[in-house]
Amino acid sequence: MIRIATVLMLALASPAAATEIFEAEGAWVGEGLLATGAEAPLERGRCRVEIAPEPGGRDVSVTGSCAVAAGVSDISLRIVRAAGAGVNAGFWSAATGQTVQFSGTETDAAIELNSTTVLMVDETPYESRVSVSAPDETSFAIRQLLRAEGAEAWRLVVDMTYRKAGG
Amino acid sequence: MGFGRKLAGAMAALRMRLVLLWALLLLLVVMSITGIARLRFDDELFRFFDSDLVAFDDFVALSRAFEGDTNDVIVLIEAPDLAAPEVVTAISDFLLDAQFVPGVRAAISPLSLRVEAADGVFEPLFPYPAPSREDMAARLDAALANDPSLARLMSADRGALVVVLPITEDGEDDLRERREQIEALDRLGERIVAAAPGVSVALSGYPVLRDNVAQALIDDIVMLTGIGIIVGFIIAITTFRSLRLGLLTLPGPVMAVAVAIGLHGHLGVAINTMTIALPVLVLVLATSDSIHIGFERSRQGGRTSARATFRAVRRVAIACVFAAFTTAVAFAALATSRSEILAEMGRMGVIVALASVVTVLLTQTTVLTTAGRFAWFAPLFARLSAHPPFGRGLEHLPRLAFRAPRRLAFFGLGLLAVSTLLYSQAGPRYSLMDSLKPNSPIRTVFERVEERVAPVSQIQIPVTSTDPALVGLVQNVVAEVTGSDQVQSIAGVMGGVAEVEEDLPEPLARRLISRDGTQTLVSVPFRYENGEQTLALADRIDAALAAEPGLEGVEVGRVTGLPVMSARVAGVVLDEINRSLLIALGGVAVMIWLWLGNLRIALISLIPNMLPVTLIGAWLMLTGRGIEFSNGLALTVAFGVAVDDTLHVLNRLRLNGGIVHFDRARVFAAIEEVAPALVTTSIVLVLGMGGTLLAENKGVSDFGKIAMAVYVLALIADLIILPAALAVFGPRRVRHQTREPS
Repeated sequence: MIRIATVLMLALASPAAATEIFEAEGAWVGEGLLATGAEAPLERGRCRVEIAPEPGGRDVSVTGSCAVAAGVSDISLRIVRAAGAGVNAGFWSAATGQTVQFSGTETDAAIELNSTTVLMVDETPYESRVSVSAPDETSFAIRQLLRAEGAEAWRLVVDMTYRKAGG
Repeated sequence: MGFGRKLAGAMAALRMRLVLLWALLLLLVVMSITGIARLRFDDELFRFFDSDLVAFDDFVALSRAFEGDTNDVIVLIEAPDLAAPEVVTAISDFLLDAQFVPGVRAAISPLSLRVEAADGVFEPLFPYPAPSREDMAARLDAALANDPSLARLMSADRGALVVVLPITEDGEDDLRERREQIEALDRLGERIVAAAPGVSVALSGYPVLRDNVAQALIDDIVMLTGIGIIVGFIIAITTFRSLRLGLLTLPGPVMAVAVAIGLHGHLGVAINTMTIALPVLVLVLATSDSIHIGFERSRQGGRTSARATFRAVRRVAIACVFAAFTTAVAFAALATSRSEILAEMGRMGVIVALASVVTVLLTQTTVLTTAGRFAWFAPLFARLSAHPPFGRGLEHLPRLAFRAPRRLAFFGLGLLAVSTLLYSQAGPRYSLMDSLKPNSPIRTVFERVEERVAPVSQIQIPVTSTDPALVGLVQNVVAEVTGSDQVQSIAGVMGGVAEVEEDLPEPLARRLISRDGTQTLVSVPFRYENGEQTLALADRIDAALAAEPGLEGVEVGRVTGLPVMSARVAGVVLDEINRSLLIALGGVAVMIWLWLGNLRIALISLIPNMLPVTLIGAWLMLTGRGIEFSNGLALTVAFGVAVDDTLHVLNRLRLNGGIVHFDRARVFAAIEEVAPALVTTSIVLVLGMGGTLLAENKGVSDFGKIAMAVYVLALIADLIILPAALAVFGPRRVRHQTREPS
């Protein structure tokens, strides 16, 4: 039986350096691994997103879609700079139909975000952690981990490295 | 003074008439150009079957309730070993990128499958990064042995796999949308080939077939019209032995074909696999009319140029108009078809046949009258009457008829009886692949998929139940009848309806459960050969389901799916085409009777009119080809056109007084006079349709072959059998009572 994603596919884009996300723009392509469910194994995936920052440099929208062999799902993200080094974000995925809110901090090396709302998968609430780092000047990486509420171990569900499309 | 005033008045009237003619012609030009600008091309694969037949209603209901396979692009990927890591990575790249192509809604491939690992956890059949070739080969071989889902998508030798990509077709410009989608997938396929040497990628499936047919239509109409015009021009030059007369023959046919195509645009009728034959038919008919006008104009030597032209057109017009009417009768018979697209072709055929004759008469009158005002014009026709037109020797055939009329007349009659009997035994033949030539890449890929991987054509049975046990019963019956282990339904899904709704994307879930959730679908892939084989299989399944006691009280729909529906509708429509031919035959006989007021001659004229059709029908029966859409249509339409020759013979007989005072001498004289024109126009018809042999669309090509054969046989029948039959079976009393003409 052919199966495809039913759960979160949070594979989102950021700019060439984590702290420059608010200045990045245009088309980006992500390559890496995705899990099509909270408990599903990682498999090869690819994302294509469009980054559109607001002129003020404090607000950026990322929209696009992510595909695995068995299907594709639209995603959408908005990140807003808060006071100091704080960052708030909201992530939506068509696969889950849910928006998860995140809050975290921004450093020169990375943006670290923790979910402030739960993601419901098969009636189980999950909390989530996202980190955005920049392994080199032309790419950035996103890792997302999920953990059922009350559980100890985190599970990697997204490990995706983005490069500027056509670059 | 009186004569001078009369002459001045006549000249003024003529000028006025000429101005009016040019104004009308200009109007037609504007109408044609604006219509051509609005022209649409469409394969109209599904509208072809649009009818009030139950089989079509079943299919429509199925398409509304479920996701069909008619929008599936099938990608065949072949490689020496699909387990090689570089091949796996290239295919994975293709699959991921293909899903970003706008309109691709899902992907079905072996890469979507899961296998159970040693720890009981399900993992992707194709891990990432790709393992070594040996490890991957072991994984695939084990899965091929255990998982029918993989066997449906990959060959046992790991040399070929299939990716199915359902695409969306919405919006107004489906043709362009589909083209862009297929081009994008083609480009991705080329990338696989570049990334992994030895790999080949080919696209097939109904969207690709439809794209191919639509593209071929555009190429074909340009080619057919171009070749038709060039052939008409060359034949006119060689016949009239004059470049200028050849050029003067062209405007009528060119305008007629422009009007015919323009009318399609204005009336919103797309050029499709049916209507594509109309412009070229109009072209050859109009060229034929134009050449007849040229011949007649050469006979009017003693008159002033304008009068000679008007008189020539008037004398030929009746036969041209009747030829258009007989063609229209054949089309009108098709207009009664229950197939919407065939009926539309019939209606358009009537319109363009009648519009064509008006256009060619108007255009040639205007052009020849205008040309007549120049000094160089009159000598052209004077020279033509001094040197009779080039008849290529065939004009001597009637002499054969008069050497042994009785023998030939009875031979013709006997041949007609035998060929009619054989023709009546020719059964209908239909295949969805009829529009593709045997070497068509799409057909080749389709056959390779079926041969190397698994059948892709589907037989489908809707069941008004979501109970896995009941659906399983239907599945078992279907599996038993078809002998297939690849029958698909919710009965094969652990968790049933709930699992399907939750786990599968919409385009896949709707292949098992209806959009309203009340019905489920049982599908079985089968190897498609033709309509006949499909119907036999469908009937066996229907009968087995009806006989299954466990399904009593369960609403199990009739077996359907595109192959089944098309075969059922085609059978009915092909019978209708045959019936249309009979109607056309009768209609033409009645028209000739009304025109000439002589029933006997009308009946005699049926012999040469029917012979070409029945002879070809007999040949189709004897060679086992049967009546296909293309040849059935060609026989009906070409019959209407082929009657043209008979009408010109009878018109000449009428003009010679041979209808009222019938005798052999008048028949002989009429045939002798008209034979060169018949030979020439038949050559125009045959060679003008010759372009169809180069057509990309096989249906158009088959149509052309049959039509050309009808025209050749019609010429021979009109030059040999018609005079012999008239001489032997003609009005006896009148023949004995009247004197031979001097």
